[in-house]
This record gives sequence, C-alpha cells and structure tokens, in this order.
Amino acid sequence: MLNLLALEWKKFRKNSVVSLLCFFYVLFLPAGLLLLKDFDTEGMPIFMPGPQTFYSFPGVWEYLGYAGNWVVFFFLGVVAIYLVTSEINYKTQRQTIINGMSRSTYFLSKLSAIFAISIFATLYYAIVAFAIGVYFTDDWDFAYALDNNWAISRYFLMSICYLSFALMLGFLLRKAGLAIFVYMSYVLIIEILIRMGLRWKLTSGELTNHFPLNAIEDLMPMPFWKYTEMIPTNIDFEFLLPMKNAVIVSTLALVVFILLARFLLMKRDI
Amino acid sequence: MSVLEIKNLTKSYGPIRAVDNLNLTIEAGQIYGILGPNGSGKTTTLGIITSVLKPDSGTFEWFGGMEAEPLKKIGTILETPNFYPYLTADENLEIVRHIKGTPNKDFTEILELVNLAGRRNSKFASYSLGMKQRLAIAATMIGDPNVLIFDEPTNGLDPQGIADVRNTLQTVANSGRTVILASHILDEVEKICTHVAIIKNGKLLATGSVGSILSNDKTIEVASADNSGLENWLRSNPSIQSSQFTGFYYDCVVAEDFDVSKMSQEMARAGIYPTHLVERKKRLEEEFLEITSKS
Ligand SMILES: Nc1ncnc2c1ncn2[C@@H]1O[C@H](COP(=O)(O)OP(=O)(O)OP(=O)(O)O)[C@@H](O)[C@H]1O
Ligand SMILES: [Mg+2]
Repeated sequence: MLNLLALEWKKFRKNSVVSLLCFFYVLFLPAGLLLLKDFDTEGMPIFMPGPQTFYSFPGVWEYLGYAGNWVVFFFLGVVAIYLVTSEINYKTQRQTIINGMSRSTYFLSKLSAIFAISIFATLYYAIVAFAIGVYFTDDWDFAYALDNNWAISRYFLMSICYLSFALMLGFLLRKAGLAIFVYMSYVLIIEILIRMGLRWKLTSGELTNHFPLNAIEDLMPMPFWKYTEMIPTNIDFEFLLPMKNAVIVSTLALVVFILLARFLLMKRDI
Repeated sequence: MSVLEIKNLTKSYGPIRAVDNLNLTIEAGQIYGILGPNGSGKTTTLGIITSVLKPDSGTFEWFGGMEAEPLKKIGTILETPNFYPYLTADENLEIVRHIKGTPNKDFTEILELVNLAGRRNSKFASYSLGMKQRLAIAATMIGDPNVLIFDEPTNGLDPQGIADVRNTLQTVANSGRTVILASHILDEVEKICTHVAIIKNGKLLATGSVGSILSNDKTIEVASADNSGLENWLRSNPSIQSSQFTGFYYDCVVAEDFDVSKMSQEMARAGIYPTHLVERKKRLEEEFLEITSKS
C-alpha cells in the first residue's frame, strides 16, 4: 500500500493542477470560515448565532466542518477525478498496465491516493479547527476542546465519500471535463431535483434525505439548521438526517462507489 | 517453451472484426514482424496480449504460463509513447522502474543508447516526436526484459528519425532478445525481422520465416516506347505470371528459372524494343501485396 502511494506521489507531485487544487483547499478552508468574521448579526433573528460561536469551541468544529464540506467537495473532489482522467488522457494508465501492474493493483494505488488525501484533509481540518478554537475560546481545556461529537471522524468519512464518488465518475466517464461537470451537477442540482420530484409523491420528505450525496453532505451539515428547530413552524419536514442515518447511508454509498469504480476498471478496455 | 502462444483470438468492435480467430506462436530469439495494412488488427492484437484490451474469445499465454507477472518482463510500446508530459525523462523512467520493481535506478546507459542523455532533465512535453519515440524505446529497456514489443515505432518520424530508431531496433534485435514488431512498412520488417506474420482484416494470411514467405519467384521490370504493345505482349506470354504497370515500367512476376535475355530476343522479334529491362529478386513488399490482395 505504501509502495503504491509512493508511486502515486512520483506521478503527481510535480503536477500543477493537483498542487494548485490542494493549495486552494489549504487556503480556502480557513478562509471560508474567517470570511464570516464580518458576519453582520444586525437584523438577524435573535436566535441566530453570532460570529463568536463560529470560532470558539465547540462551534468551530461544526462551522469549519461545514466550510470543509464545500472545499473538499470542490477542490479535492476534482483532484480525485483528475488522478484518474489525466492518466487516461495521457494514456499512462494504459502504459502502467502494459508495464506489468495488474488492474486491481492499479485500482488499489488510486484508492490509496484518495485515502491519503482524505487523511491529509482531515488532519488539516483538525489542526485548523483546534488552532482557531484555542485562539478564540477564553476558557478552555483539552476535554472541552475535543468534545466535538465525532466531528473529526465524520469529516474523514465525508472526505473519503466525496473522493470515491469522484473517483468512480472519473473511471466511468474518462474525460475530465465531463466527469467534473457530472460530479458538480449531480451534487448541486440533479440529486436535489430528483428528491424534490419524489417529495411530491411521498408523504414524508424524510425518506428523500437518504439519497447518498445528501447523506454525505449531512455528515458535516450547515450548522444554522439547528437553530431552525427553535422556529415554530408548520412545515412538517426534517431538514437533516440524524447523524446515525447519515453515517450508515454514507458508508453504504462509499462501498458502492468503490466497488463500482473497481468493476468499471476491471471489465472494460483501457 | 514458446515465448508467446496465441490461440483462436477474436475481438470485435461492433460489426468490425478487428481480430478474427488468430493463432500465432512466437519462440525465444525470434524477431517477429506483424505485417498488415492499416486497420488490419495489429494494434488490437498487441493490446490484447498486453492486457489492456479484452478479447471476446480465445486465449494467449506468455512464457508457457510460468511467470506470475509476465508483462513486467516485457518492454512494450503500443501505438504512441505514453508519458507524463510534466515530468523529465529521468522521472518518467523512474515511474516505469517503480512499476516493474527492478532495482537499478541509474538510467544513463539506456538513455545513451537512444541518444537522449543530454536532454534527460527536460520535460517530456518539450521533446520532439523523435525524442518521445526514443524515450519510449529507452523505457522498454528497463529491467532488461527478454521480450520487446514495438507497434510502428517509426510512425511519424522524419528520415533521420526513422534511421535512428531503426539503428536502435537493430541493436536491440541483435542482443538475442525476442522482438515483436508490428508495422506496415515492409522494408522495415524485411531488414530487421527473422519471422513474419501477415494479417488482414484480423485474419492471419501467412506466417513463417522471412525466407519461407518470400517465394523463389523473380520480378522483371520492363518498359518500352510502345507501352500498349508491350502490355499485350506481356499478357499473351504464358511465362509471365502477372504484370502490373507502376507508372514508369511494368512489374512482372516470373518463375525462378526465367531467362531475361531470351525475353528481350522474343520481344525484339515481336517488334517491341525495351527502354528498360531489369531483373531483381522479389521483395517482401511484392509478396505482401500479392498475399493481401488475394484475400
Ligand atoms: N476502440 C475502437 N473502437 C472501434 N473500432 C476500433 C477500435 N480500435 C480499433 N478499431 C477497429 O479495429 C480494426 C483494427 O484496428 P487496429 O488499430 O488494430 O489496426 P492496425 O493494424 O493497428 O492499424 P494501423 O496500421 O492503422 O495502426 C480497425 O478497423 C479499427 O477501425
Ligand atoms: Mg496500429
């Protein structure tokens, strides 16, 4: 596994697209949160959180996690697509097989790459969240700081799920542009449209929350939704999946994405 | 033990039979040319035996099935040189070495063999077509493989590039390795190969040593001021097996014991005076055209 990771490193360490996207992740994760620094609470409903909760424990885990939800999806997802499609484009995937690596080992090398990227993403998230929290929380101790409702594990699961979805689309569609387009539009538009369409038919909206990408999103959800529970409303609708459901559905989706990606690589001409 | 044994290999793309029930055995030390016109299935065949394409039916076996990872012992160029454009020659070769799992990390010798040592630190993207092709040849040498596969290695090169690549191929061919060379350039195959398989529409038309493929027939080149008279005369002469106008002269296939001086006498008697009359050994090109046009 480490040997395969070393090979991926040799292949991509000098790739400007991968470097740039990883740099954007590093830059925009904290930036996404810190942009909210000038968040204007004036005119907001009283129950909405003020900027202070974004930065201090325990809120920082959720808010930075939600920022990460976007930057992992945008930048690192595209990295995962690129790891596959660039090798198809340069025909180096073909050459790797010709040179004697089996298809299943090649798949393992890609899997180990997205695994490593997810670990890197999660570690960076944990460090940044901790650092911001320490800086902005007046009175803290370790137990309090790390009491984050499994945020780090949820973040890792979210990352590996997005990346394996992207990886699978890379193997399925083979062209970077097409795969990125489908990746973005499925997550941002198509799944939401399908869910809305189904919602008219089903009595409860809850079921449609169990769509795979929605479940992955809900691993690190928008924290504001929590506060909507305080609003008296007549909408009979759950905005978020319970965490347990989100974890189960995401894990199932992860397994399906990985098996499907592997199947596509094993069965087709290269 | 054969190096490669192909049995009943078939692969279609929709209605097109790219490879059609192909059988071929290649022994150690042979320089095997796979000859065929464009679209005859050469690349498809090589793609299958290097595991990138899936056959519809049929089997192939490397080294009698004795090697767990045979492709690691084989150096292959399939169609184009495939490298990471943003990496240098050395970095690209290191990736190949890593995949092959061989220890030697010094590529100086093989880069010198293909005359690229001076540009080893330039990015692949900055290479000319000839340099890219030569780097691909260098990459096939990594791990000192017993078998080399080249798919049209001189494709798209200028005359100097072609000469350079052929020289390198010749050196490689003389080193005792088994070489499989797909080409539609007959001259190339004739110069380098010991054995040849001729394929068309995915079907094997002829196979054997280059000597056995070349029949003992001869070719006569003949031209005259009165070409239509010459043509009629050639047609009516039973010892002329076939004749074809090349634009300058007629190419005539005749038997081994055909006597050219007698031919010129007979022509003179018929009132046809040759302006050009040359006898030469039949070349693989003619044999190839004959075999492929018959099918
Ligand atoms: N991916 C593909 N999809 C559809 N048809 C294909 C594909 N690859 C090859 N073919 C068809 O299969 C046949 C054999 O192609 P192949 O590339 O093996 O020929 P070739 O002998 O290598 O030709 P060339 O000398 O031009 O390289 C051709 O008719 C080609 O059009
Ligand atoms: Mg070809």
